[in-house]
Amino acid sequence: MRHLDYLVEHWEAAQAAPLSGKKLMLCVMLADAYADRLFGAQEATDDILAFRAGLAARSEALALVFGLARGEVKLVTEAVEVPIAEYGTLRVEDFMVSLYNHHTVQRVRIVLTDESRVLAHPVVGEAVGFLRDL
Amino acid sequence: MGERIKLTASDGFSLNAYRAVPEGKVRGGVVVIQEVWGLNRWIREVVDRFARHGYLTVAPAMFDRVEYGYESDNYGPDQFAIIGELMKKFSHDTAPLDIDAAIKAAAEGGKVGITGYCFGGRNTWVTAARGAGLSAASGYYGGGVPNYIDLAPKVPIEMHFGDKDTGIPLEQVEALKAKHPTADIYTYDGVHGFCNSDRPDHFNEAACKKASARTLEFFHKHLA
Repeated sequence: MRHLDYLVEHWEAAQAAPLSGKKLMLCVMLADAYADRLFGAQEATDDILAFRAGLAARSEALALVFGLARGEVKLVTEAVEVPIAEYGTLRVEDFMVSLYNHHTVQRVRIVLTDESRVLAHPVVGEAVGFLRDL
Repeated sequence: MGERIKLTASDGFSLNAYRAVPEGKVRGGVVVIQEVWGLNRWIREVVDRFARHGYLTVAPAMFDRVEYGYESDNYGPDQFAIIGELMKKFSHDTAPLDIDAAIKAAAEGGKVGITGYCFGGRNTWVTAARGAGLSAASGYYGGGVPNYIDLAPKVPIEMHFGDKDTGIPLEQVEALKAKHPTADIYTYDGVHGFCNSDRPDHFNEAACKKASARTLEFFHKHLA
C-alpha cells in the first residue's frame, strides 16, 4: 500500500534529521491517517473510533502517536543536559554543538499530560513498526 | 605562510593566535573563529587561504583560557570526554575579549570581517550582534540557533548551513531566516562541518566551494 510506503519513507527521513520536529510530526500524521485507512480496509467493525482504540490498546506507542495527532500531547525540540560521562556516546554533531551550548544537546521529545518527557523518535519508530507488522 | 603570534586581550590575558599576511595588496582584515578543536591544521589552512585572497587574517585560540595551547587534529570520539571536561570551564563572557583582540589585530589590514565554523559560526553571529567594529560577518553552521536567534546583527551578515546537518534542524535555520530577513542565509547539500577538508566523512567540496566563494564575494563587497 502506497500510504505505508510513504510512512516508512518519511520515517527514514525523520531518522536522518533527528532534531527535526517537523519531519517527525509528518510521520505522526501519516501514522494516524494510516490507521484510518486500515479501518476502511477491514470489515470487523463499522465503528472507526472503536477500531482505533483497539489498535491503541495493542500498542502504547501508537496510542501516544494518536495523542500527538489529536494535540493532547505535543512534540517539542528542547535542550537536554548531557553528563560528561556520556559524551563518548554522542554523535559528533551533537558533541560539537553541545560544547558551546552549555553542555546541552537538543532532542525532540513528547511532553506528556503530566509535563514529563519521553524521547519522541523511539515512540514513533515503535508505532511505525507496529503498523508495518500488521 | 602564516605564523603563530600572541594577542593581548583587554583584560591583560595573553592568548595564542595564528596570523597570515597577504603577499600583495591588502584588501582588508578577516578574523577566523575555530571549531571546537582549537587552532588545528585545518583552521590554520583556512587562515592561509584568506590571506592568499588578500586579507590580513587572524584566528585567536579561543580555548586558551580553559587549556592554554589546546588544539587537536584528532576528530575521533575518544576526544569527546576530554574536550567536554575542558569546556566545562569555558566562559562565553570572556570569549568576546579574545575575539576583540583578534579584530584589533586584523584591523591592521583595514575593514574587518569575521567568519567561523561550528563554534565559530555561532560566535560569528553573536559577535555581529555586538557590532564589535566589524564591517561584515559570514558564519558557517553555528549550532544552538535558539540560543542566538533573538540577537539582531548590527553588521551585514550571511550564514551557511548544511541541509543534512543532524546537529542543526532545518526548521531552526528557516526560523532564523524568517526572523532576520536582511541576513543572507544559505543552505547546501551537506552535513555538519561540510567545509572541513580534513574530515572526509563530512567534507563536501562542491558545497564548500560555493559557500566559500560567497564569503569571499561578501567580504570583497563590504570590506573594500
